[in-house]
Amino acid sequence: MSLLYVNFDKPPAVQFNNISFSHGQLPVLKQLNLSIPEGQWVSIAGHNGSGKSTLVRLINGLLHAQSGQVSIHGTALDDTNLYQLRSKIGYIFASPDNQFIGLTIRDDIAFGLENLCLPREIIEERINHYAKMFQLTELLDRHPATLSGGQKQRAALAAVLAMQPSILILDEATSMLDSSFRDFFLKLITKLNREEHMTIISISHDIKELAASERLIILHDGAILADGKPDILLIQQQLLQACRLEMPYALQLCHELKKQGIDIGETIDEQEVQHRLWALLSSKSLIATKSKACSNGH
Amino acid sequence: MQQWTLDHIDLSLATNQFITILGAPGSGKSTLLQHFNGLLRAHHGSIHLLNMDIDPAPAKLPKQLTKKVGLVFQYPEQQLFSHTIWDDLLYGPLNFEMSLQEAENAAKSAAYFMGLDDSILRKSPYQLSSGQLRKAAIAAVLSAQPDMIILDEPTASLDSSSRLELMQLLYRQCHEQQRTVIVVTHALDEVMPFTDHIVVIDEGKVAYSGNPHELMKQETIITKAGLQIPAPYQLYNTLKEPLQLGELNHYPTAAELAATIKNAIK
Repeated sequence: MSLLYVNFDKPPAVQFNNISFSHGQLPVLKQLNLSIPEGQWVSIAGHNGSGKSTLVRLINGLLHAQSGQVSIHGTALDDTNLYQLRSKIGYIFASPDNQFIGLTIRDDIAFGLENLCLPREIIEERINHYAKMFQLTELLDRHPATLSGGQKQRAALAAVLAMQPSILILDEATSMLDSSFRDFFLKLITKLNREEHMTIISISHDIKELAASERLIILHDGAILADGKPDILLIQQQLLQACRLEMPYALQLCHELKKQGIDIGETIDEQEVQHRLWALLSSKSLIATKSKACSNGH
Repeated sequence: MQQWTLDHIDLSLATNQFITILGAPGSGKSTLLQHFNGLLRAHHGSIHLLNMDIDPAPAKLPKQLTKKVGLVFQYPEQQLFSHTIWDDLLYGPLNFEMSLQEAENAAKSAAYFMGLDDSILRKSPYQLSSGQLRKAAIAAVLSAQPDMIILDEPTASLDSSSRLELMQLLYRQCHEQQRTVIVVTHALDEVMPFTDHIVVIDEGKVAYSGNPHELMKQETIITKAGLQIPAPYQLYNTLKEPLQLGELNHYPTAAELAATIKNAIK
């Protein structure tokens, strides 16, 4: 099924050719080459200051590289087409306070849509639709400053998604959401990616979020240290250390069990550890059946 | 109809403890902590804090209040304003009328405790990474030597090693420097190894106040506040019955849990 949607002739959504960027004397990105196909969900990890935010800010022209070329959907980004290309790119900042413009949440969602010159009915329809999706309906007429951190972050997400961009950039956009909303948002992103083929580029320090994406790029001192499947990269201790990520508890437990002579393999997924431990216990007849495992485990 | 953000809150919190305030977005947790240093005033009820009466409102708040209670807002790096980190660290103590010598000593001690060396102190905020900025902003509050430090989502957007480091530094502030530390967060897994007391706020009311490990047995309160039981407790809870494990009264490290499993299946 999914092959139907993949057009191999299409240019990549984002292409970096030999990009170098420095803040004054300080090099931030060093001769970076990167290609992100349309419809891919890529996550970017790296320690604070590794160049993650700089990299995504080059994509929508908030920053300009000193050398090299950024292309969006096959078009080289320059001053003449910046505004046109930018309308395809949704960008959500880590601190939601940085992106509010309107005096109310309603105005804020409307602002982007008005700039796309959409008719009034469609604007209203989208405001209501996205407000409902992010449980903001009752907050629409409030001033952004009167909302809590998590509510602001939801409002920022609604305002950007309402513009229905083809490329969505999330710069630690879930840092202030509580875990239930974070799960909801991860599901929503997965859906936008799989069903609407939105290209998603997400920066995160959250292992669960990194593991949910299709591809993980690890940046270290302005260069790509690793690029591959998240579940393979995230069990490698030296890569975790390079991005200053603490080893997830599940993986720590796998290592500690191995030291005790109990080998259940390596995984970062807690549920998976639980299942493997249950399998081990039932093989030692410490628990009767697997069905009991399910009823107790959840 | 009047809607109360905080509704009949009764709380008693001991000094020199690491206290965590949890709650879903919009539950009122940030509102609650702004009552601790008089930024917001209660409409009803009374607040007694560090031997000072804050509410019902005296005409003038005790002058000591802002000195004794240090408040670190969300994204505190946005509140740095001096040319160098060192100047920022001196601003608080000088403003509270310490002599230059005292102020410098207080700033040095705060910098030392937050792990900021001389090369960082000489820099402008623009030259630091976000983890360093966060520590500098917290050091700037600590340099005024408050008895109580309150932090609103202190680890948001830091990498996980910086998060762990920050929690360890706050733990030391509490237990080595005898300061009361209050952290507002929803990152339950981060605070569990360090916290002495947890308060859960739900729809403006106190849903729980007490021992953190007891809370781990009350899944409904945790889920209702939009949180999840952290992995170590989840794993322990599943294994508890078949392996006949005892009650958990501290945070189980991975090594401990592995040893427990090993002993139980031997």
